[in-house]
Parts: sequence; C-alpha cells; structure tokens
Amino acid sequence: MAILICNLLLILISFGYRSKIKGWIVTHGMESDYRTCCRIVGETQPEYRMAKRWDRTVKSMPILMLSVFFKNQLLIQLILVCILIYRYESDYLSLRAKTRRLKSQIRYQFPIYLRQIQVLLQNNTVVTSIDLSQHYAPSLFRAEVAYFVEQLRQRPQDINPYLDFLSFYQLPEIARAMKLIYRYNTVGQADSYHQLNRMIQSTSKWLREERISRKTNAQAAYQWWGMVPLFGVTLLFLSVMMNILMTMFGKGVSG
Amino acid sequence: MNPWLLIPIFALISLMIFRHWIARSALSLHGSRQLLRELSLYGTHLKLSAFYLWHVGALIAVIGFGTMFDLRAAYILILCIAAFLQIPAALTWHAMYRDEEYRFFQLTSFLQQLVAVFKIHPKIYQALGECINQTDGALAEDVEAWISNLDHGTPAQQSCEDFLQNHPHFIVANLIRLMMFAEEYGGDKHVEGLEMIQDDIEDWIDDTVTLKQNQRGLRNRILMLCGMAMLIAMMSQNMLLKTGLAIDELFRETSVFIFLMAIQLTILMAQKVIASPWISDEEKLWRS
Repeated sequence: MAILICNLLLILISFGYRSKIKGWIVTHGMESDYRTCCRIVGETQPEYRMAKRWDRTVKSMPILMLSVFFKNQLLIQLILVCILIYRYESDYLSLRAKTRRLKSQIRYQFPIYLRQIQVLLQNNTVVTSIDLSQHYAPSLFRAEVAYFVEQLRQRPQDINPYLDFLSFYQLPEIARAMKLIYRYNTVGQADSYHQLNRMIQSTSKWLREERISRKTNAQAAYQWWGMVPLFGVTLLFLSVMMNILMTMFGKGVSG
Repeated sequence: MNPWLLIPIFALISLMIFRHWIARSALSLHGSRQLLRELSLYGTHLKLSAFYLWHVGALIAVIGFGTMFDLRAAYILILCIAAFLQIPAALTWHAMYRDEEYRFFQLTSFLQQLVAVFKIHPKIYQALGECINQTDGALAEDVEAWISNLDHGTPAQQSCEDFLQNHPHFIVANLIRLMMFAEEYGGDKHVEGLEMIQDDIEDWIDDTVTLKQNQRGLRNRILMLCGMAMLIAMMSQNMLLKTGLAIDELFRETSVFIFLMAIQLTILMAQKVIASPWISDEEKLWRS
C-alpha cells in the first residue's frame, strides 16, 4: 500500500510540476559534457534535447503502478525504477556513444586532411592552402573548415581562429597541429621550413598509428572466432560426459 | 526429436539466409556458371570441372568426418548441404582478395613510377605517357582516359576527374594536386612534396602488407585450431565410447553435429577475415 501511495504521489508531482521540474533539470541536471557531446553530434539546442529527455521519462512514469500487481512488490518496484532511470539516461548514453564514434573518425580523418594542407603548402601560403582544402575536406568537419577560412580572411595573423578550429573535440593532437600551422604562418622563412618538416614527420607518424590501430581493432573482432572450436570441443566433451553421468544416475535411481 | 525433421527446418532457414549463395551454388548449373562469370570479373578463371571438384572434395571431407564421428545420414546430409553453400562464398571471397591485392600493388607501383618520372620531367602528360606501360586492366583504361582528356584540351583540373572518381584515395589526390601546382607554377618547390608523397606511399604499402600478413596468420591460426578441436573431439569421443558406459546416442550425435556445424561456420569466417579490402574506405577521399 505504501509503495502504491508513494508511486501515486511521485507520478502526480511529476505531472503537476512538470514544467518546473523540467526547468530545474535543464538548468542543473545537465551532465558536464552534455553540451560538448551535443556540439560534436551537431545538436544545436542541448536544452531542448534535455527537456525532451525529461518529457519522455515522465510519460513512462505510470509503469511504476504495475508493481502493485506483483507478489514481490519491492523487487518489481526496483526493476521499474531502473527501467525509468535507463529511459532517462539512454539519450545521454547514445549521445556519448555517437560522440566517441565521431571522435575516433576524426582522429583518422584529420591527419589525412592535414596531409592535404601540407601538400598545398608546398606552393601556397597557409591561408590559401586552407582555402583550397575546403573542397576536399571531410564532410564531418567541412562546415568548420568553411568557418575557419572565413575567420582567417578577417584576421589572418590572429592565433584564435587556429585554436578554435575543432576545439570542441578536445583532441590535443588537433590543437598541436593547428599551433604548428599557425607558427608556420607567422615565423620567418628559414624557420618555417623547419616547422613544416616537423609537422610532416609528426603527421606521418600519426597517420600510420591511426591506420594500424583501426585495422588491428577491425581484426580483433575476428580473433574471437578462434575461440569457437575450443569452446565447441569443451562443450561437446562436457555434454557427452554429463549425458553419461545422467544415464548412469538415472538408471541407479529408477532401478 | 526426430533428426529427419531437422532437414526441412535447416533447408528453410538456409533458403532465407543464404539465398544469394544458394543461387550461385553447385546445386544449380545456371547458378554455377553465373558464379564463375562473377569470379572471372575478379580475375579468377575457374573451370566448371574445377568448381565441381571443390564440391566433391568438400563432400568427401564431410562424409569422412561424419562417418568417423559415427553420425546418422540425416546429419551428414545437412553438413553436406552447408558445405555446398559455403564453397561459393569462400571462392568469391578468395577471388576478391586476389583481385584487391592485384589492384593495390598495381596502383601503388603506378604511383611510385609516376612520382619518379615526374621528379625528372615535371609534366603530367609526359609522366602519364611513360607510366601507362606499367598498367593494365581498369587502371590502364583510367590512365588512357586521363591522357585522352588532356589530348582533347580539357583543363588539367577536369581531365583527372574520372581518374580520381575511380581511385579516390587521399594519396592519389595529393599527388595529382601537387603535380598540377608544379606544372602551373614551375620551380623546384614541389620536389619535397613529392618526397613526402613517396614516403606516404611506402608507409601505405608497408602497413597494408603487414596487416594483410597478420590477417593471413590469423586465418591460419583459426584453421589450425579447427583441426585440433576436431582431433581432440574425435579422441575424447572414442575414449568415452570405449569405456562401454551407456550413452544417449541421439544426444551424442546431435552434440557432435552442432559442433561440426560450428567448425564449418568458423572455417567460413576464417576465410572472410582476409576478404577485407586492401584499400581502406576510410582513406578514400571525400569529394564535395
């Protein structure tokens, strides 16, 4: 009875003060990296997404009433609460999974893009190279490249456009590469040659590491197939042994 | 459960899942010919007799193991059908592997040659003309189309569009762009860029070859494990049977049947390991 009353109260409060709770959740309940994740996946309104997240959870709240129909009410209540928590968190979890996937994609695509800039740098200035690279930039960050080009046209000697470029991914490799490009743009001719060579070397290393790690990860999935024959033979032996024992004991009991 | 009942159930599931391979299996002469035509597109020319010989070999192996494990005819029949469905898939993946390998080495050696020639004579037309002899098949056609576009006075940027479309790797695009800039602006600034691209090509070949060797090693390890597992299964079964203890025969045969099916599937997946492309999709260029 107490569980039923608690559930009813909870549901009534959730529906009655829906907008107030929603406002509080949007302001205080947002995970620390929620905005960053939204930025990476291209979600422009994190607050709206949070509100929708809460709305979905509130709509599912009546399932709590189901616990009264079961014998072990407390256990069922616990399971239903877990389902509601999962319903609330699922959006964040999927957002994080997507962010991880995009980050891993950008770790591979950025050095390839950087290599294109380095090739263009052989005959062009930094600003022209980045401008020319727009057409071949990965679709994942083509819009950012366009914005970066626009910023560079307005203030070509400013370091901030370089530092801001893809900064929301929070990848130190990108920040380092952009600083090197900026330095190449600003330092003298003799020094710039040295800078470019360093950048080329580090990009080569980065590219190879990403290539190898990608392929190794893809291969790792197949390594599990090697376990199938071993598990198979173990299970086969155990099941046949079990069958022999069962037959022996079965005969003993019935006999 | 009557094991004969498994045959229609298995057949229905197979029809649903493997309909692509069934249509190309040795069960149909038209399908077999279709498969051989597809294999020839990958550069693997297999005769119909050799194709059927593969099936006969697989049948002998399955019947041999089935008899050694003392399985009933129904189970052996199902295993034979499974082997029949696996062979077209395994042959296709092997042909794809060979084709990809050939195309990869052809493309990389063409690029290396192009870089070397362009370093001496920094003119795209001449460099292409000198390197075309090194190519054949689809790559030769693409290079010919590029040269023909240049012959017809197409601007350099547009003349290579089709080539880039068919070979959209970032190294190819980088090399083409660098060659165009070098031809347009002259000077010797491009030489270091060419060196960089040459290093990229060498790294690309090294990494890909190493990874492919690893994949082949993995496939061989899986196949060896399959063989060892079957040997252990056979020994343990003989040992248990020799003890003279009572055993539910149907249960034993069903367990062995499931085990052999798992082994067949593992052998198929081991073949699929090496079927992954040589030129990674992730390194292909994103065109606007």
